[in-house]
Amino acid sequence: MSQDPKKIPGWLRGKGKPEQEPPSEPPTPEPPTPDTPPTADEADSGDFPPWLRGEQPPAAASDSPAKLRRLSAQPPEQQGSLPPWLAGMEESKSVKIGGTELSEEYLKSADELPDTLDSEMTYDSWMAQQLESKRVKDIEEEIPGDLIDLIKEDQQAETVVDPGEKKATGQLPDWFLGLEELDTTEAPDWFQTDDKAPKATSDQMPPWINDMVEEEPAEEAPPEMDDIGSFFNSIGSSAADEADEADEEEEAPDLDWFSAPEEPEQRQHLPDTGFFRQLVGKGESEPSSKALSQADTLPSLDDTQPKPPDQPLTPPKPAAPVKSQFELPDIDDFEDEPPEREDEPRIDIPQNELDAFFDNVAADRDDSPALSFDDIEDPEMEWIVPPEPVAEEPEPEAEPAPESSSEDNLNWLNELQGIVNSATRPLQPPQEEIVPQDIAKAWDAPPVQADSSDSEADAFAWPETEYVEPEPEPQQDSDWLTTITPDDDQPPTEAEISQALEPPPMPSTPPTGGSLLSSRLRQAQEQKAPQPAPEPEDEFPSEEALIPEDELQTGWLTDDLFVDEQDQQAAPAASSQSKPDDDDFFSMLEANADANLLDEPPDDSLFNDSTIMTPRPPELKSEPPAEDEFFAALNFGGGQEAQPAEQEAEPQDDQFYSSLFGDEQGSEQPAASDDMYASWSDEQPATSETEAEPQDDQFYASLFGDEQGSEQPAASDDAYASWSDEQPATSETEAEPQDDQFYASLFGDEQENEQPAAPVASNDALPSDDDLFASLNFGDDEGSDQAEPLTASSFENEMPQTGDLFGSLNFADEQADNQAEPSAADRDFFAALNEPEIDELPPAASEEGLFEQWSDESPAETSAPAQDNDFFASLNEPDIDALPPAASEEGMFAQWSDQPIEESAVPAEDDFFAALDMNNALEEEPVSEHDDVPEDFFASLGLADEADASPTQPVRDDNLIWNVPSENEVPAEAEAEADPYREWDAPQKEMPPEDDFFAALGMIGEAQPADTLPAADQDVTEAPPEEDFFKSLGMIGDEDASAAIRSSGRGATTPPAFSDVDSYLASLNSEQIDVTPTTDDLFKQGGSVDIDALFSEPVLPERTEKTKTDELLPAVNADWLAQLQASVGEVSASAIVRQKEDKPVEELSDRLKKLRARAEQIPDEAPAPESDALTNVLPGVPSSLAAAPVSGTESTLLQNVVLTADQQNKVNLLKALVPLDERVGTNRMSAIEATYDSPFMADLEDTAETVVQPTKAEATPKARPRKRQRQRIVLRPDRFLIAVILALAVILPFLFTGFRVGSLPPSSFAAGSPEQVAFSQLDRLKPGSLVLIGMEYGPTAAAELDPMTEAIIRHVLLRASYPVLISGDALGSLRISDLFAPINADTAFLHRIGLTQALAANHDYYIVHYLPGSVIGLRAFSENTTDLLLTDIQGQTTNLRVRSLKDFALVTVVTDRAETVRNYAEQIMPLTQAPLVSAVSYSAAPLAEPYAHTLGGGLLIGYQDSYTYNVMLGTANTLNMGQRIRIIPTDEPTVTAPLLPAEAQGGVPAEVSTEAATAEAAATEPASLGTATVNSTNTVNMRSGPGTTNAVIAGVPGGTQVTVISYNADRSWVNVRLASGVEGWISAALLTITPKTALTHLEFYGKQRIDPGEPTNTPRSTRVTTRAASPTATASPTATASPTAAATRVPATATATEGAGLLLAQATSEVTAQTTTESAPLGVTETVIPTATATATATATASATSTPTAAATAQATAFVGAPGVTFTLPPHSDGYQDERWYAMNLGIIASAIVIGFGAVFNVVRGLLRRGQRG
Amino acid sequence: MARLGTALATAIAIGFGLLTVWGLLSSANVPIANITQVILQLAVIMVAVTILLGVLNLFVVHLRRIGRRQKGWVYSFVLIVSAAAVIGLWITGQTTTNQFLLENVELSVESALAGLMVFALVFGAYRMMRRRVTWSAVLFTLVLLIILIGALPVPQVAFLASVRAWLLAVPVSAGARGILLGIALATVVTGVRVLIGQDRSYRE
Repeated sequence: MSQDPKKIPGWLRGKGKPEQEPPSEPPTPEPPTPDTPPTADEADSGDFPPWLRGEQPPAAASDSPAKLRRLSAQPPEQQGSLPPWLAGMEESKSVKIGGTELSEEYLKSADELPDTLDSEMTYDSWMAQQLESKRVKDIEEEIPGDLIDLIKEDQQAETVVDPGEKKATGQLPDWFLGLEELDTTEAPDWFQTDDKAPKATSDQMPPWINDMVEEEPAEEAPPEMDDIGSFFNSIGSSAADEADEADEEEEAPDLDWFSAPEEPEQRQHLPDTGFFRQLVGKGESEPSSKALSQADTLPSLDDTQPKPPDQPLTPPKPAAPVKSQFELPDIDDFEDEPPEREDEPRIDIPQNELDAFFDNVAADRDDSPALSFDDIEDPEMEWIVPPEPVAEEPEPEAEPAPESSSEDNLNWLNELQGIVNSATRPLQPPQEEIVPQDIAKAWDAPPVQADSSDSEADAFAWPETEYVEPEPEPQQDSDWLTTITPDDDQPPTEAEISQALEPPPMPSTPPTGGSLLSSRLRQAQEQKAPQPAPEPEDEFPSEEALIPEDELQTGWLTDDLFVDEQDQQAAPAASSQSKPDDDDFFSMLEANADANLLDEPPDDSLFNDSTIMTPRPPELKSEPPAEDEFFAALNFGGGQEAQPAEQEAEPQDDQFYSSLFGDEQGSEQPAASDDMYASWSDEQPATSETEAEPQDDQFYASLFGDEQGSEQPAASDDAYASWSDEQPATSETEAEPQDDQFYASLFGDEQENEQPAAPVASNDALPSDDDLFASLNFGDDEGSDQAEPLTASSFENEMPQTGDLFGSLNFADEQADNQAEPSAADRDFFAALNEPEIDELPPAASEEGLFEQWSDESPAETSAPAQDNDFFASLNEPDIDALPPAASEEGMFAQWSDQPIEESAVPAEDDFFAALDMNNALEEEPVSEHDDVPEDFFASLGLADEADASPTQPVRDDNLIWNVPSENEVPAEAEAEADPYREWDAPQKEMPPEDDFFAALGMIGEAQPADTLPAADQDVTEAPPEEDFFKSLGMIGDEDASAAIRSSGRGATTPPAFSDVDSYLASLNSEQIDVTPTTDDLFKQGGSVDIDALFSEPVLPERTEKTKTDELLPAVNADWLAQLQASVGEVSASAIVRQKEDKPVEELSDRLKKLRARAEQIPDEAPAPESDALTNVLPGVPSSLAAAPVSGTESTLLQNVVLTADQQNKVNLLKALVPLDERVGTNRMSAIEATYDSPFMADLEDTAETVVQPTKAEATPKARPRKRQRQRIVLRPDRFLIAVILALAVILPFLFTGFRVGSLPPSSFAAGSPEQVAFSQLDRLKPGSLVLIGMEYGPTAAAELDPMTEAIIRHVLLRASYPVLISGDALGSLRISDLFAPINADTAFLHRIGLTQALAANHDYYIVHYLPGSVIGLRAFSENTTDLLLTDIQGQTTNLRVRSLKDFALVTVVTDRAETVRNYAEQIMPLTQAPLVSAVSYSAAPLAEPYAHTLGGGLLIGYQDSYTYNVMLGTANTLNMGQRIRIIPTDEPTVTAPLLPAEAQGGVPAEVSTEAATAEAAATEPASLGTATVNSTNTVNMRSGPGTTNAVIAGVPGGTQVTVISYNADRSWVNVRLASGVEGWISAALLTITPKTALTHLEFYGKQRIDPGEPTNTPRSTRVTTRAASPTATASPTATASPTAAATRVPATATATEGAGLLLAQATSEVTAQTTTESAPLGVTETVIPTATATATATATASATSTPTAAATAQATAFVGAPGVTFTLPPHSDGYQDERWYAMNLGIIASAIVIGFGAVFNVVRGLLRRGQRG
Repeated sequence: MARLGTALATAIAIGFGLLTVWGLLSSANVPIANITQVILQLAVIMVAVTILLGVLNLFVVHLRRIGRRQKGWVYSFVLIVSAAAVIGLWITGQTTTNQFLLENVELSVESALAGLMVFALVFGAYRMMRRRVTWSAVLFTLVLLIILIGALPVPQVAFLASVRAWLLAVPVSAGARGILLGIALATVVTGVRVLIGQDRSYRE
């Protein structure tokens, strides 16, 4: 579509204002009278829509076509009244920026901007909305019920329903269900089915467009309105509405529509332009460094875009949606419910933007049957859970006002607009120019379709009635629109464009309705106009295929346009740099607006900021603050300058950008510039550095979404990180959800749809309200324009849809823009805005989600195909898929990169801007930015002229750009999807993001891309990515670019394509400014970036090489997608942001960590203040998003700006709102919180609670101290001292005997004590008895209780009994075996028990089951003892044949829990007659003691008793050890005779022999296991054998007592002997058996258990056991022989010459003492013990001897009384028992001292305090 | 159905509960006792199974964490490796190694941790009255000191030892008994409630 200059309106061609007004001059600050028609070329005004021309909105003329209506829908009020501040934008140029003077009026205009305080919207309400949005919602809630209904209806309605769509999926669209496929059938089908959009059109139209069209054209949508038209109408309407209010309101220019007449407050909630101004900072008050930096980077303020900040960014609201606009309820209203649509059924769910969107879609569907939900939106509502914060206000707003049926479709857009408007209320009512029919035609008339003109007209036509032309913006828009409309089929002729452009001289008149977007769009159109629909065919088909210049030109944007823009922009861009102040900013915006708008009545605020409108820039140059940057970003043309700044610029901008384009960007960007960069850097590690300009990156990112970010060299770490993160893995990105969401929404959903969004986004980028709105309007307009061509050409019917789509996109963008302004709030706001989109986004609400989706899809569809599909579908999946570049960002970028663009090196910003600049270059006008974007965008979309010009081409373009294959193409696209993504990923690395992006988009004409602007002359191939991008977009034909350049006067001489922002700027401002150093260079330099210098920098050469970042960027990981998904539905954008904020660094991915580190490093380079400023701007942004280094120095803008008192006040207000001092840490409060805290927001507060009385003294708000909660380890002296004391107390006794305080525990238990009882219980055990020992403690109590357990086991062994150990503690059961290790190692002990070998499990002891279930386990054990004892813990057979617990002679439990004692007492003891000995820890003693007393088994407590016990065991071995019985697993009940001799050989005491004789004798006796009583009233049978099969040998009357001889194997039968001597078997069930007292294990099993007996020396397997005939126990007399044995044994113990002598000596003495007192109980060997004692004593100490008492005394003397014992001397006892004891003593003493001292100290302290109080 | 199901579940639970009680109260030779034993065994088995499930869940959770690289995943990794190693050693019959680990790692660590409690407890006692001095705090402190000092085997504080003994024998024992009685009563009540289905829904 060669640009036909004729077709292009003059204003588009830049002939208008730029020529008239030297770009250098700041926009003549005409009072913000929207009415003031574009001062530019009135002659051209004819081309402008009425509203642009300041005429009454066409809406007034109901008969006007829908298009007109929509245009008219824009707030006509604005026309009438420009905000005073706008009005104040007179030329007086007191301030010089970059050598350019700024008119005082211009600055004043900014002053006039209403403060945010004015906004009616309270943050409370806003908050409430956000909260509501955050609220987890069911799917039903998520999905507007109306939507479902609509779906149903659609399905029912044949006309509406696409045959191809999947109705089978049910009511819910497939995409919603995630079932959607990319089948070509879907998208195309609905087109086909769509009445409005014939298939042919659909073919032509890119699928995504079709989708959009389908979606948007709601049933509701008035037939007359196209989607675009509706969109614009909505915008216009809103604008109009707002305009009315806007007049009243100062700042909120465009926001008016949002706030709607109803609620002026809404406007307030969003920071007004003033806010941005403040953000920008004034020279006086230090503007946030970031802001400054941004401002620096921002394109020249003077840019033509006349967007008054006040004016609503949004172009005139589309008629249909307009309704909502007009009616837009307060934000508060939105919170809960979407505003009801007057005309159409109200949608209740509107809270979410998505909902609103869907509603709108549904409505559109109604209108246009073609639409299918599936097609509409891919994103799954579910997981997309609307980002909480974001969704809040915006959504509701949009919804409420759906006036027309089409409105419904656009509702959410409206909402967005409303939000934006509210946020950025235009000071003046949006001077929305009623699009003249001509213009409308131009818009409507899709070049492609003959019919399109009509259909398009409908679609795009502004709602005549509704539109009230927004003053400034509308004009621009109108211009832009006019350019579009004029040629139905073909892109607007140059003349048209020029006309359109001319009319709205920004400077002169207050910004008419034209918003930044609109201005941009205009610019884009202008630029593109020449290039309109530039060869969509070529471009679309292949990524590389950038739209040829011809094609581009064919688009409504012609070279002339571009040229104009460039011309216009060039000046402004340069100038813009200088403007620091808010005022300046606004002035800049105005100027920009002027410039950009090409003479359109600049919305001062908007366009001032938006340096984009470069035309004037040179003059105005007031450096746009962050806002400016933002605007600049928005304004593609202006973007040159602004863009760079933007990135760094407030996160808001970022958000905005992100919102516009990439989700990721947005998300990431929100954070400080650093963050943004980081995000980028992740992907493009290298880039971050180069791309010093985060803003740019952000902007790019925003524009292009993730891809950009990723691809872009993104200087800032964060941004890069976000990008990269997202792609690769996502979660890391941290990118702020809001942004993400926003981006996602924009991009994901819309953007994907895409590019339209992108261009729009750029427009949106404008931060200032007016600017934003203007930009938005512009964007919208443009978008619509672009859409129009497409629609017109290909899809007449569909157009409306497209329109809606664009509208939606624009809306989003606008909103985003608006939101972008308020830092914190902005986020939320944006988030809210974006939320819906996000929600829509199938993959994820978060950036990541988007990226994931994208990436997933692209790389491997597998991961989230459904989502992807959905997402794409929603976004125009088909497009995406089809789009070679990519569905995913990466893909896009990759594509871009793939394309000729090689500029990877160029910072993303640059690229982006360059790309953007394409337009600008073409158009010097303020709109240049618009031009850029629009061109490309539109071109890509094929919407614009291209469509008209060459219907076929547009289609291709669409396909290419969006990858949206036409229906026909769809199939191929589906395949392509994966590839595209792959491409994206890969390309990103390789290609500079921008390039890639553009390439991917295919938008970029080879030559054209923004970069190309200057480089238009260059070959397409060489053209930088931007060029490619634009080419791909088809917006810019190389020719166009060149033409534009030519027209601009730059000529081919200008550098070829825009490699960088610089290049772009250069291209734009080449004439005026020679920017030698690139922005990148500047940024690289370390932060001190002078805007002037920046702008003065020469254009960078094209990038031929890939940036490092590109290469370094890791491929996208599917993981991050998953992560995103996880968090997607959870929260709103803001919530996500918070979450991410809260996310600990550790959890970050490596990439993010690196980026973070990098970002943190950056600040060092750059002056702190800057970073602070930026961070302050975004309170909620994690610290990771550090300020970009770019902001190193104050921009000259600030320095040069002279602030008036009012201005200064405003600045102060901004500062108050945004803490500037400190960097916000990860824990920084959210924007909302910050807002609440702000004293200046008191007016806004609903509740007194939240209100903070403003302290006017706080001219400079105090930055909130960064709440960094560093957990330090505070070492408290007292604690430390106590610890040391205790440690020493327990250590010293081990080392120094002098610290061994106190006496050792007694050597024996006191008589009658529980301990003594316990000991006696054990000591009474008969040989062969079974003792159940419960080891119920774990390692924790091991230190205390192990000695006790060991002592008990030893004692049991000493008694020739068999311990059976169980445990309900898992670890305890495992440790049981370890307790035998020391015993086995104690050979002396083994000798004592008559063993020469170690104890063997299942022979000498039994470790059985672990008893799970605590009480249940015990109970089960008690009930089923036999079975549970059959195997040991290792599963080995135990050979224990215990019938029940009664077979145990004793039960012992060792535990540290009193409850365990209780359990044993309750569960075990009832089933046994044995006593229970409890050995407990100190802690368990109190509660265990009652049981001990009750059961009488005795109680052992703690280490002390264990110590005593062990001592007693040392001497109390009274058992006849030779009598040990070993059980052999043999069935033969042979009883051996005395084995003792053999064992005696092994050292067994001689006395054993005596017992052995006895035992032998006993062994011959018949075994008697006890008695039994026949338990039956009847006579029972006695049988010959066990079992009923045996013969009955006798009858035994019940109650007869019999003697138990033996049992059968299972003990079910008992061999009994009657008193008569008859033996037989009786069933055990019939007998009540009374075991023999103290039944030994041997006895229990009877003969058959007795091994024949072999010498002790026999192997263990054949180990002989002797019957431990109980009589032997009494054979104590033999004890007299024991002395010998003792003598023998003592050496072993004493041999412990190691030093154990002490213990032995003591034990001896104690035992001796005991002997005297308690010899009776021990009985057995009293006499023996003394002997042993004597020996031991002798061993220990020669002197301590004779008497035990003496020994004890000696001991005491030795250790207690001889402190002088050297360290080495103190011998240690076995197991350091003594030392432990002393340590305990000393520890207790120390503890008591400490506690006592503490008590006294505290008491005294308390008393003193009390006294003081008194 | 839901209500019916609940009622059915409750009836089953109550039935088995009563059956178990009946069996436990009856002599071992009564058939019902065998049923009770079976039920108890089932309960024990189920408890054991839950332990296995817990182990499996442990593995799953930590493996997931490792897979996702979640915070602390390194620890999870260590845990998994350790658990796997122990299990492997146990399966392979290398109980010696296991026992070594148990005694030298597990036991040492847990004992050390337990030992460290003294520092916290003492410091807490030291600061106990920092905020506010109350009679209960004073009493507590006094008793604590008496118990501590009375435990010392030092003749000089023999009187405190006697006081300590009295405290343990009278007040402490009384309190303990009271507690145990309360526990017993609560156990009975709870048991009854459980048996009659008032304390458990037996169906979720």
